[in-house]
Amino acid sequence: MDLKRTAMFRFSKFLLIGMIAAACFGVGFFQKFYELLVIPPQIGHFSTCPAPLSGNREVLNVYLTETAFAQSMQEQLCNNPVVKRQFGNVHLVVGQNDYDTFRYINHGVSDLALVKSNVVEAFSANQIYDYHEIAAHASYSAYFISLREKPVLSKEYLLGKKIGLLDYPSSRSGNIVPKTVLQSLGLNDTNVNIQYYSSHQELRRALLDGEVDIISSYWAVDDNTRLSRNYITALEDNVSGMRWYLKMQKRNTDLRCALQNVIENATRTVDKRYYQQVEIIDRCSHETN
Amino acid sequence: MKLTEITHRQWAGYLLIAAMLLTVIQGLISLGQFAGYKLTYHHAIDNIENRISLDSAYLDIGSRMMNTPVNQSAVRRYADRLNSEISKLDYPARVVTMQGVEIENTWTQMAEPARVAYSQRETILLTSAEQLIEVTVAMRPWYAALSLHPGAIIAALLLAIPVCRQRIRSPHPRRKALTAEKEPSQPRLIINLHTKTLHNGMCDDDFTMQNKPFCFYVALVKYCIDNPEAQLSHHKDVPAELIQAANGVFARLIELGHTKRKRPDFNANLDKTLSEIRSTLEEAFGQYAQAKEKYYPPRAQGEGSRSKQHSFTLTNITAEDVEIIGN
Repeated sequence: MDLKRTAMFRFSKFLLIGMIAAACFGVGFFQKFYELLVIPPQIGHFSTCPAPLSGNREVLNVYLTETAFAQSMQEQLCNNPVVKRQFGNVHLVVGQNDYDTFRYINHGVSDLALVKSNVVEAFSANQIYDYHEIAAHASYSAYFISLREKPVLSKEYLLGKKIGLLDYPSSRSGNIVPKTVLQSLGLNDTNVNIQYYSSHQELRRALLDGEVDIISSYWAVDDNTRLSRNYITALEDNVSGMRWYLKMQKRNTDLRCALQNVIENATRTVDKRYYQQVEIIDRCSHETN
Repeated sequence: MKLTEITHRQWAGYLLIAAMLLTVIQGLISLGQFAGYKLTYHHAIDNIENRISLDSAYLDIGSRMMNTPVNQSAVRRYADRLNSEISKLDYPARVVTMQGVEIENTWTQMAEPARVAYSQRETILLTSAEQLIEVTVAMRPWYAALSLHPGAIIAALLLAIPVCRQRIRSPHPRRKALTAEKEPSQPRLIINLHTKTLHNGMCDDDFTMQNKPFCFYVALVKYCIDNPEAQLSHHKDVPAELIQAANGVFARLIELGHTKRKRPDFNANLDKTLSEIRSTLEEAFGQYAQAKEKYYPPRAQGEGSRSKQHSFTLTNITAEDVEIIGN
């Protein structure tokens, strides 16, 4: 009887010690452990109007390749009476790369898009989805730009030079035009040293830092202060500028006119001089409201 | 026990026990803290890895196959946005580099003390058919997760109280022996079934009895410990329980090889049996009159009806007063 009681006592003692140990472990564990919320997507963000425009389920999809005037564009669209009448909201996306542009344009997702004409024409999106040009920014020239001498467009001169190009194949001045010129001179990746960069700004930085001898780009107003216009050689003079496309699968002329107004107003406020000048194509003869 | 009665030595013992308990309790809490840290960081790294894996499809991360470089500004913008988000969600990690691009706004430009706290690095490698993305994540080291829990101090101080009380009440056997040595020893009845003798615990002498009184006395002692209120009269039959106990002792003596004879009748000649018992106890406890009273079956006082009411129960005996060896 006594032995049984002693065993029970011992068992209870061990059980109590075990429970205290488990409680201590639990206290420490829950002091440092906490449930972490799943991280939401950090890319491909789109913006919408602060409040739905109406109960209409139709959404106006806008695709831009330039962040500079995304906000003013959004505000103008959300306050436009025609947009308000025809759509329940505005869905604005700023593309990050060629892949985004390809997806949004060649799948006919966007109603209004600011893109290069070659992207739209490459897969005949203009014919498949009735993308119409409603506004255009100025055409420009593509140049070889150097730091200390005017580049010569000859095989002998360019052989062995380090040339900086843009890495996205849709860029005319930074990729298509210079590669076409090099190809016509019998030069390619194997006999010239081509280095790729992600943006026109990166190209300029690489040239100024001496990473490359020549870059291919457009001539920006700011370049007058840091580069010499004497050391540029035109590759092509009439590279078509950025275009505004509207998907016109319906004869929605009110929307066309309204969006032309929005584009004109939004580009007026943008910092970049290139985008400030816009040519409205087939301007509406009547005012819409 | 009052606080004023506690000696300095006992206070020191209490503090020592509390310190030992604190070490054990804090050790267990630290173990829990480490496990909690590990699991949280594991989740954090998993979630960051998942997020980058999913987002990288739309990020201009460059490709060796396509001969395109990392779009540093796009990657930096992305990682800054990711760091801001994980900071908002209270993640214990930050992205330091992504595909070789150092993250500026939310890492290199971070306040120095905050950045130093994230001293541990872990590299995440994300592999796709065309691409290998390398992301370095900064985390707080594991030892930063360990901290002294105030509950451990309180628990140690509280738990030390019952432990100390227990130690004061039943000291360690060695200390008990030392204490016993210091205290003047008291006579105590020791019954040894192996030698079939009685001892008084004071001298080395053995006091022997015949089998019948010995068995009866041992049974009487056991019976009286369990039934101190029982009335045992000369003129009544001995209770069956007592007889059973006496038979049990006799059986034990047979087991121990003291006798092979048949079991005696413990009801018969009770006076003679008690007389023999008293005689032996006189010898054993003669010098210790006060101690003897506990073990000595009381004699009848007076005559006639008064003697008939007499009980030979050992009313004052307790289990602590007797040690039975070989029971």
